[in-house]
Amino acid sequence: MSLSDNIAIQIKNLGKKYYLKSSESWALKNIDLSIETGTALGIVGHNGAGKSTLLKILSGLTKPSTGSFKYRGSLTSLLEVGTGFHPDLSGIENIYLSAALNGMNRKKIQKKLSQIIEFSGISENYIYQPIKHYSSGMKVRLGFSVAAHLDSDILIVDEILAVGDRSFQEKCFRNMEFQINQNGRTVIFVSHNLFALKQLCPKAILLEQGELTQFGDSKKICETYIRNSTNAVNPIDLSKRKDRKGSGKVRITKVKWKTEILETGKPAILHIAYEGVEDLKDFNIKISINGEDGRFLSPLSMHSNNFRPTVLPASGDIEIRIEKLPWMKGKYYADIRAIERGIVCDDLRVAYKFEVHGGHYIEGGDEFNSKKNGVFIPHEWNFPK
Amino acid sequence: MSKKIHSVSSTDSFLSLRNYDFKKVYSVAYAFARRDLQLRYVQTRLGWFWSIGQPLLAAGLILIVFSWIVKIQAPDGIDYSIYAFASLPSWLLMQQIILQGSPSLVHNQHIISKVAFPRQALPLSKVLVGLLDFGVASVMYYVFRGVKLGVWDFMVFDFLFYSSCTIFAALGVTYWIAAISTRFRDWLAILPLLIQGLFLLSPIAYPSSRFNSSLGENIWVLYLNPMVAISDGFRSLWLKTELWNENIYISFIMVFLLFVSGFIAIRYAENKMVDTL
Repeated sequence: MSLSDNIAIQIKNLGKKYYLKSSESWALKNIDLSIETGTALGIVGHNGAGKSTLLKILSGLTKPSTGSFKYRGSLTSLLEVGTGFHPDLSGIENIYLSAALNGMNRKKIQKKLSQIIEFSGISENYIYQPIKHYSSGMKVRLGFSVAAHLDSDILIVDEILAVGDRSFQEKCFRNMEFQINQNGRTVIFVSHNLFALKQLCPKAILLEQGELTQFGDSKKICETYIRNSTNAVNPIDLSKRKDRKGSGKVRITKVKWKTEILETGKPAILHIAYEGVEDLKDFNIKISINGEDGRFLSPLSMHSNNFRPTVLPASGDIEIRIEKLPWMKGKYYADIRAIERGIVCDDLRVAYKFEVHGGHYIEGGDEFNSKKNGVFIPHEWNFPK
Repeated sequence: MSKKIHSVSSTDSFLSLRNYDFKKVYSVAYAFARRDLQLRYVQTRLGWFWSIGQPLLAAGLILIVFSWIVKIQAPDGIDYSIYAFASLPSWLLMQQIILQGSPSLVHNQHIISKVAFPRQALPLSKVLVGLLDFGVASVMYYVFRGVKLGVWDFMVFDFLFYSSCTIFAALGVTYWIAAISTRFRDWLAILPLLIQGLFLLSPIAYPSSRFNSSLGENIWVLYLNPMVAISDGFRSLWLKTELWNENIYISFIMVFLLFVSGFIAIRYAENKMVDTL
């Protein structure tokens, strides 16, 4: 039962085996890792690389098939915001329920109740109302407020910073920073938002097909992650990718610029091919264009553009035409999702990586020099009248 | 650094109680029980009246069917209603725990897949809720007996003993069904039938002296039902009837066996639940 003083979690040879239709597959293999007390560790990897399995084992939801781990103090995992909330209960009652589920006792909750309510920003009139009357944003805020006030030594956080509106997200982010730097918590953090992950976690690990392939500086790990995934992706067609989420009714099989060389300010056409089994109603494709550092920059979405064909064939092609390419010189990557009638059919992270060679956004204008990724917006300069 | 070091290993036995923390089990069960109570009479017309109304209706039904229609008589010239209702609160408690506790894991699978709380807390929370109703029904019977017979004595120790037997037996059955149903939900489909069978096989609406059937020497088989000991126990407590016969100890042993085996079953299922549910 020994554990060096400065170590919060020590993992030895951890593995998890699942049986799928009588064949066995390893979701996680040979994980060895030590995490120091008071630090944040990021976990990076594709869907299906074993991130969730690792979190499930560490949080005690499931047993490992091989190996063991030790940890010091109490451990709480937040795999979702607002788990256990009941629509017929009031905000206050839900705070008690959710916090109790996560291992806090009533007295401690009572002490922190006013802080929790204040953090959530939910007004006096609403906090005593059943949460079925809340907006989805309010529910999420309440859920995160409870999570932020749990007082365990180790926190396991899965993708929950992607909730709420922009300002609340920033509040949550600052709260996480505070938890690590001021309260000395140890945090394990999983997110597809590589930008947030890099800011929060100095160190990270990369999981690939259930194995820990790299451990080190989080900036380098994120770069490797993007490079590996896109290098592996771009040459082959997307239908071979296995790391997808969604119902599978439709699969995106191709994303590619028709334009050979992309230049800022010049026209470009993005070609998308998809395959499904039956006609698609109320279909939407959402693409996120992210910078090299993982920061989200621009959305490309059928519905956001008010492009709503009533019926689409089961399989087909679609094109996006951009009159003046807005992105500055640099490397970008795209996440893509297909949604039919509100149900996510396909979800592919880092589906496509591309490079924009600089150029003038405005005819005759200078090129704006920056090492970072950026987006031009049309604007005018005038003298006040 | 005096914080406790926890360790989890693939070789941990599910029987090991090293990471077992009863305080935590209880505090989570309490939170679930509170939730159930708060939600209990949402959108009903009569609200909390049902805490009294439910046992009253159950008692009325038994009286009509078994006394007026089937004409069952209580032994030793005791009034039938006094005799039958003596064990009714314990049966209602048993029924409530089993009916609500058994599907509690399957019904809350979303929470189970996201939060690592002790799973036994879910069935256990139904005990806490059930005890409230049991208390109300017991007080009602106490007053009923007092008014009818003019007897107002109350044996605390015996009452606690038989109540605990009810809880342990009900928890045993509930743990078993809850654990198995995480893999085979068939058990939830036959649950109402199980309850009905248990009611018919238990001496609640009739005295256990009517067990003298065609079973002959094999009559002990009927005493494998823990509800026999509980029902006769409560009658001996309230009405001073004779409890002990040559087979009743089997029933008491079954209470113990059911609880211990059920506890082991749910500990076993707890480890695999997230993968199988």
